[in-house]
Amino acid sequence: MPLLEIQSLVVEYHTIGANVKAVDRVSLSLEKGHTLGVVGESGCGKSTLGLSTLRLVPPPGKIVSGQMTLDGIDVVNCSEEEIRRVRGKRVGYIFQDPMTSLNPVKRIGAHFVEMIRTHEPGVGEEDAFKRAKEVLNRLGILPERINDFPHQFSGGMRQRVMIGLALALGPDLLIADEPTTSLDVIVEAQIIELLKELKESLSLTLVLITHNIGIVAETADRVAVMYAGRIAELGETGVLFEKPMHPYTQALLNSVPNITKKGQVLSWIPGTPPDLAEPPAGCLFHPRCPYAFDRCRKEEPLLLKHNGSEVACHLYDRR
Amino acid sequence: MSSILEVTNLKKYYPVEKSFLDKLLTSQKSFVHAVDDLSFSMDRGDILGLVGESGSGKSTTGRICLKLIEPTSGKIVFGRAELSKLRGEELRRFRRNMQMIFQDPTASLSPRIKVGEAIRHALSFQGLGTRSEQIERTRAMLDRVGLKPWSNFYDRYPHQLSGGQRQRVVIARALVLNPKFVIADEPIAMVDVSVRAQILELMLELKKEFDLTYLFITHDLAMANYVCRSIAIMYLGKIVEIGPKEEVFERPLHPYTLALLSSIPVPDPKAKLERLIPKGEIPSPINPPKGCRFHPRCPYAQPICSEREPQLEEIRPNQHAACFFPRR
Amino acid sequence: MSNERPQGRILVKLFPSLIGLARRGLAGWAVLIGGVIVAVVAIMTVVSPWISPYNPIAINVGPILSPPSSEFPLGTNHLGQDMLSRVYSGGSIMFQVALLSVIVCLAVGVPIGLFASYAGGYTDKVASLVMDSIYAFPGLVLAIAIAAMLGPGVVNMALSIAVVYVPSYFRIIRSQVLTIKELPYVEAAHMMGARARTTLFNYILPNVIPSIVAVATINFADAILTAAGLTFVGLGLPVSTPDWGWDLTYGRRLLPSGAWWVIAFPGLSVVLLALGFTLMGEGLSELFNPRLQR
Repeated sequence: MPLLEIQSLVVEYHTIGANVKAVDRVSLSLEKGHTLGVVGESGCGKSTLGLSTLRLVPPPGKIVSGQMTLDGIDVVNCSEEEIRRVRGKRVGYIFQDPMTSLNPVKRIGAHFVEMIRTHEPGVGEEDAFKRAKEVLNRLGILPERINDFPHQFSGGMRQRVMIGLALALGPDLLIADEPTTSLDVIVEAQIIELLKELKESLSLTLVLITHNIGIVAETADRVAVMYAGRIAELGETGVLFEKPMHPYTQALLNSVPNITKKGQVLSWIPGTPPDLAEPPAGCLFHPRCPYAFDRCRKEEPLLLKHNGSEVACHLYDRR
Repeated sequence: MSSILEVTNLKKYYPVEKSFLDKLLTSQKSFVHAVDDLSFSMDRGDILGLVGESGSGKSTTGRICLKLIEPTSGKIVFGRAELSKLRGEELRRFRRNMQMIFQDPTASLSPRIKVGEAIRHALSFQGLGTRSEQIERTRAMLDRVGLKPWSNFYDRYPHQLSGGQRQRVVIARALVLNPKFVIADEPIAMVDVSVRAQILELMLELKKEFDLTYLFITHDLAMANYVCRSIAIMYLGKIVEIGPKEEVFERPLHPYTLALLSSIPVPDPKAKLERLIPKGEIPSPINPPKGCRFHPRCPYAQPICSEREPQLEEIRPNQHAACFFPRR
Repeated sequence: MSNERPQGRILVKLFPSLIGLARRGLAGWAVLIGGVIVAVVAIMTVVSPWISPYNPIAINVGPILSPPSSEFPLGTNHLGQDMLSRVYSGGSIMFQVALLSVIVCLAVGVPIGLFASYAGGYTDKVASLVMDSIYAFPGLVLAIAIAAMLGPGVVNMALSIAVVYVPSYFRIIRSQVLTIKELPYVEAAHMMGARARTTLFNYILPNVIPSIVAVATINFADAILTAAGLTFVGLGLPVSTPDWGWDLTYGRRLLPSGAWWVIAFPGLSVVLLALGFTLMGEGLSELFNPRLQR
């Protein structure tokens, strides 16, 4: 049974004037021990998708319909109490910005202790501290730094602390939202190596949400490409990169520089992403798609199986 | 080929604010060595990429070259003018020769000024032409950077445009003065991935058309590889390697360059990655390591590396590295 | 050689149209409702000579201390004056005082705030020191002290309130200018060769104006309350002028005898007017904040 299963999830932001579908009928599943990369550009809904797995979407966002099961638990309909038990303990979440995700007036140790004792009230403070030091050690942070404040850590270290917090309670699933975006190149590589190593040693299941195609190529088993709130293509990493099917995937891969490819000519996608408050009819990508034909302008493509992957494009829909 | 920019022994030290108690008890001043004895030159028509991570001093260098910040010491010669000697009105007028393209397209445009007016201001501040002439030139510039037709964009406010469009406005504003030299500080870092190449292509086209020289400041090596002709790698305020792009990327000399290159994520799952990731993080620029600044993290460090500081030497024709044991 | 000074044009373009206001959510409604309240009270005050049933300062037009009735809807006070007429016209002085104090504040506080914080260094330090010292005093106490020194009258009341409020303008402007000064678009202005004056007026000021407007409206509200307070302690105006402040003073003394209407209605008016301004101020400061993207 897959560890995480999402079916037709719809998350909307209700603002005065418009209902924006940030996540529109997204379906995917994740097997235990696998790594799923969710890629897309800003505004595609990937962060919202991540947050919704733990019902953390801030208002005015709301999960409107769909189903999500996390290791058997119905995440959409379960009680507040139950979802709180899931957060941290079953699922660890690494938030986007390590600079602002840590409480500046709390020592690092206190962050861990609070986390551990909230979920496991029986644990004494001493024990909690010990566990925190173990986690930090595993992440390459000297245990005596446990009494430092966040501002005394560099960006990379703070990100390690965030990872540590996410893993402190021994969750099975780790969701990382842009874990390396604000970091330097070398630190980014260090963090990615760390994540890979942790994945191995802790048998983690990992969801990696990012716009950085490169790190997804390196770490993910499967990739979901999102555009304007929908999944455009979903498949095994090797297959997706070698033979991308959706025109958006193709264009996206062609616009990312590959330093190992000599004489590469980068291309781009003309136009801009759609205004989700007033989306175009038919396929949301059609105004920018070089292959758009009549059906694309009228009918929304469904995510269908094709050659082992899933793609939402009329070019592959022979019906 | 004439040299358009010559930087010699550039230093920028920022004094570190100390608490009152520290000021009383210690007389030692500490400084942030943002830029530490930098020297390089650029020829006309060159595209130099100044590459480094945070704390490398690349942004500070760029700003000093544009005289937005005053250096602690050092000489910058632009064309035939020595920047330190320019003041007041002369400096103001000199600014038409060099401009900057900023990193954040949203923060580099005043939210209360229409986009067309923002561009026109460049001409107006320099007193070039009459108001209607300025408007004409602005319209032409809007068309030229792809914001066509200008009538759709002139009267818009920045928040009504997309990130990529805003960056074009920034480019238009920088180029409307017809400068010879443009410094681009992370010009595409905050633009969507699928649109980045478009902005880069635009910048390259404009280079040909306006006969520009570019200094690209970036941490994105892949982008630098795509667009630049020469590369200078910076670490903790110093240039550790400088040379033609092909040489630096394919036959890097300095261990730090090697580390950087091996850390770049490659969008190809089949690529065999040989990771030479150094341990630790960039040390604080307040107390840089003695000797070679990279030695604490360098896998090839020898005792001499912690004692003496290597200077930039020409190891291969045209390729310089500051290392006692360059990886030939 | 042109040196742009389009401040006027920028000011005109700044204010969002009223129709768009209601669409901007809660903040827009706050501004709209606040604005309506203020407008209604202002109009009421202006047309009071025509709509007042009695001369507000004429005494003994009715029985002394009679409760609200059909003849005197808001009752009469201890001098037999009609409370309704007094409520209609009592706001006029308040408006004058508030308006004048805001004008003085803008004329003094804004330039000092702009120049001192832009210049930095000692200018900034000295100005901050002076302003912080004034700010340290409790507002009403300081206003009373200054009013006592200057004597009664509309202008003096306005001045004492202005002195108390200038530091608030200074602080808001200073914090804004210090932030904006470091932003890339100001750097860009330097790059283009803008003179300091141009940068200040074309790039910094327009982005500071929204917060100035917000402070000004709160200033109005505070001025109204302070004016009432000053009159309450006898430092405001000659008794002959119809003024809510006087009604509050006497109303308070008359309260134990059960004549609640003398203090109630003018009191409500003061509060309503202050509320109107506050709503506008809070709404505006919320609206003018940088647009938050999703």
